[in-house]
Amino acid sequence: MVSYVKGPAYKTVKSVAGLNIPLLKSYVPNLALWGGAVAGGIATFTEGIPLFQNTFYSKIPVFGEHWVYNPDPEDIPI
Amino acid sequence: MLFRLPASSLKSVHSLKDVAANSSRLVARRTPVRFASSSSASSTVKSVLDSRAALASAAIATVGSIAWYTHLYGTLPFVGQVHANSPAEEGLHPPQYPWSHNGWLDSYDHASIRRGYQVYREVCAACHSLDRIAWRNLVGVSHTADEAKAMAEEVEYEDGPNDQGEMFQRPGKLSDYLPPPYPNEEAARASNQGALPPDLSLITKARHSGPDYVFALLTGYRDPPAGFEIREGMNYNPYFPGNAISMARVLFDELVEYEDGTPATTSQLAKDVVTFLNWAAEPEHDERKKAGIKAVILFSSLTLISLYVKRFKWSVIKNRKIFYNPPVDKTH
Amino acid sequence: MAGFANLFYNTFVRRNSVYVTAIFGSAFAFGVGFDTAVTSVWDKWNQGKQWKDIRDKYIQDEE
Repeated sequence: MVSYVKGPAYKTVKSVAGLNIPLLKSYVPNLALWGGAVAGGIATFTEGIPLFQNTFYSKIPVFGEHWVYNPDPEDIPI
Repeated sequence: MLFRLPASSLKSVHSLKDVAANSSRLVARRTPVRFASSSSASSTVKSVLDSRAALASAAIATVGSIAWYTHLYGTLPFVGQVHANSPAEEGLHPPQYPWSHNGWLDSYDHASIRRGYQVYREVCAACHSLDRIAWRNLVGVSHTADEAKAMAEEVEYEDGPNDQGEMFQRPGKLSDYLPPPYPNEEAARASNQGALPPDLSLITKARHSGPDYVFALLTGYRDPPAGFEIREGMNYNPYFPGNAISMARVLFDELVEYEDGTPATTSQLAKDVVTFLNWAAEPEHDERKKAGIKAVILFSSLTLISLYVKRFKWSVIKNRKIFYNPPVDKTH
Repeated sequence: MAGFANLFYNTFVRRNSVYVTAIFGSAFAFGVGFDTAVTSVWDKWNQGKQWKDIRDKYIQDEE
């Protein structure tokens, strides 16, 4: 007796509000790139803020010197 | 506006005379503009003279020469003017001097500012205040912090009130402003035969021709010309409006001994003190010019980019040809 | 030229995330580079006139 397949056997992936794990996995590389974009945006708009300059940008290896503000005490009126 | 018209439209103005004489040609003359270029090809010279380029360059030459004349002589050409004042009463116009900070890219000569401060302090400060400059403003511009502190401490300032509610004297600090020579305007007038020595903080901004005027005034003292009556206590200076100024000539050769060994001629003293006063009026000058360079570079490149993008985007529309194919009447 | 344009398009423009990153990254780098370039031109043009060029004379005098 040959058992015929009567039709396609559907399986359902578990999903929450239309989102499931393989779909989310496929988003990961693109989202990582968007993370880079956001980091670049934040860097661009905080470039002039002293707290960010001293904390981050002055520690960039080659051109971090650009943000270092270290005047001679003879040149500032204190 | 004239040169935006096609050149041949002038020709139609000419032809109006003929039209008046011979009205029967009016209909034929109605549309000379349209065919002007093809009909006037007989004379090359004429077509060059009638060209738009000729109109445009004539217009530019006219406007340019008028603008040049106006800039040079201060009035429009061939337009008469009547002045209540003689040129002497307005003061002689000073020449334009080659200041070290004249150019678009030129910063102040800070060594000159330092010498100029010395001249101000030793000469001008006897009568003129400099209210808007504090000792701290000199730091990092012409003096070190220690030098500025030492100079400030030589002056006594009134401070207070203390615990007993009394004002007291203390040596100056960096945050104090340069001391005025007189406590108030009345005292200044009383000491100068009624004339008020102006505050010098903004003097190069407050006079026509700015630093050129101040320099010309300082170095311009001379004997009055024959017949020029001058009151007792006044001095003749051609650059001063009215030519009679209460301030006597103050700058003479070797009046000040510069620490850097610069020969202290009268004109050197004047140049240095005017540079100093120009700094006092425009302390932001160096930063301003630097920001200006950046702005000019950025905005001009953005303009070029936007012009290119506009041409790029419009090229499709500008280059298209629209054909009209009338529907073929198939009944015949 | 077309090769460069294609390379540019395929590298930076194809993905929007890469495109935006490139825009912000180049803005950041340009800000630093432009400032440095203008400052160095300014300093070269005005050599010997600015305070930082003459200050050594007066610092040494004191000590």
